[in-house]
Amino acid sequence: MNCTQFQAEFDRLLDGQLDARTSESLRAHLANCPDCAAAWGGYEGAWAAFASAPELEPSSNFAARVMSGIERVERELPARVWSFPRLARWFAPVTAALALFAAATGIWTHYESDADQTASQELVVNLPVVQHLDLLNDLDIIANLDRLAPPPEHDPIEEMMSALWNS
Amino acid sequence: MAFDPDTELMLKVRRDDRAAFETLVVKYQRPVLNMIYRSISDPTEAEDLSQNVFVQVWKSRGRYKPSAKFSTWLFTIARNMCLNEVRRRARHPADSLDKPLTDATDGNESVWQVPDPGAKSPVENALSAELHRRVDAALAALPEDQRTALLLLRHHHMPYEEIAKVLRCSLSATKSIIHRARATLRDQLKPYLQS
Ligand SMILES: [Zn+2]
Repeated sequence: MNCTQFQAEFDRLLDGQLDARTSESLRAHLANCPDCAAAWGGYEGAWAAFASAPELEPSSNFAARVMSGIERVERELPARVWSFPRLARWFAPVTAALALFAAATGIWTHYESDADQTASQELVVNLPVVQHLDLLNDLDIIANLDRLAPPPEHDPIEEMMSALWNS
Repeated sequence: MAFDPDTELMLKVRRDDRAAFETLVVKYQRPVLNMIYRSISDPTEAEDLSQNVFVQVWKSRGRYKPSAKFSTWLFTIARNMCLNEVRRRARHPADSLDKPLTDATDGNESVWQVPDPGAKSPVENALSAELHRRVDAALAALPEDQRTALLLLRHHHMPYEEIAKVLRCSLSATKSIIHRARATLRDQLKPYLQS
């Protein structure tokens, strides 16, 4: 290993993200190379200074205040609003399943589409999501959270739906 | 992916378990507070905003999926809220006047925690206080992504892959962000470390 390769591994060495064998060979290089030893000294020293700098200690009632914060949230938000994502997730498949059932059993009549439309419009109108600025802010904050988790490998609702479609 | 204890707790939180939620708050209050404090430089407001981060976690609990590490999810929320606050202050500069650091008074203020107090002579204490001031200044001068990466490494020893998710960039970009941040820190602190 030459000096350039060695110095490129400084971060992983500092962060303990190297396997034992690589770490050992880096340490061996360090012991025999004054240039790298000097470079490493500055790098490690600055990190040690940062790691030992004082931190803010949370107040003793930090958690208590958070807990009263969530109590307030629960009181302020009507149940139907905080459960909106769950509701939205279930609404489409359940409606589709009911429609399929209606079609299959012959109870589909000439006025059903109007009724469905009214029901869904009512749902939208009754959910004061857009009027709730807090929620808009929440959506902004959490908008990119879903990308942290890949979609579930199997979804019982989806499976049920595709079984229905395929039957 | 193996389940970590935080994921187990968060799954309970998703079922409205408040005791599990409080356990997570107590565990993560300090790193979240310090990450936010380094961006907005006001301990009282940092405490308020950190508490709001956890309230947001509660409000978003239904969106948590166990395939994401809880800490990654939490720090993503914390960073987003912090960036929102920084943007808000940029639009309303009067709100962003730095206030002096204060000791705890009404019980809702954070206090400074200095590692290993009393083990040094007055001269050593003065030198390390100066070094810590320089660390603060160097950290404050870093671009936000570099500062966040260093804080996640310091507080949480977070793997690079997870830091990349919080920063919303590639793994190689993250490594380069970390390296540039440390190189800057080294250059800024060099004179103080040698003395
Ligand atoms: Zn060398």
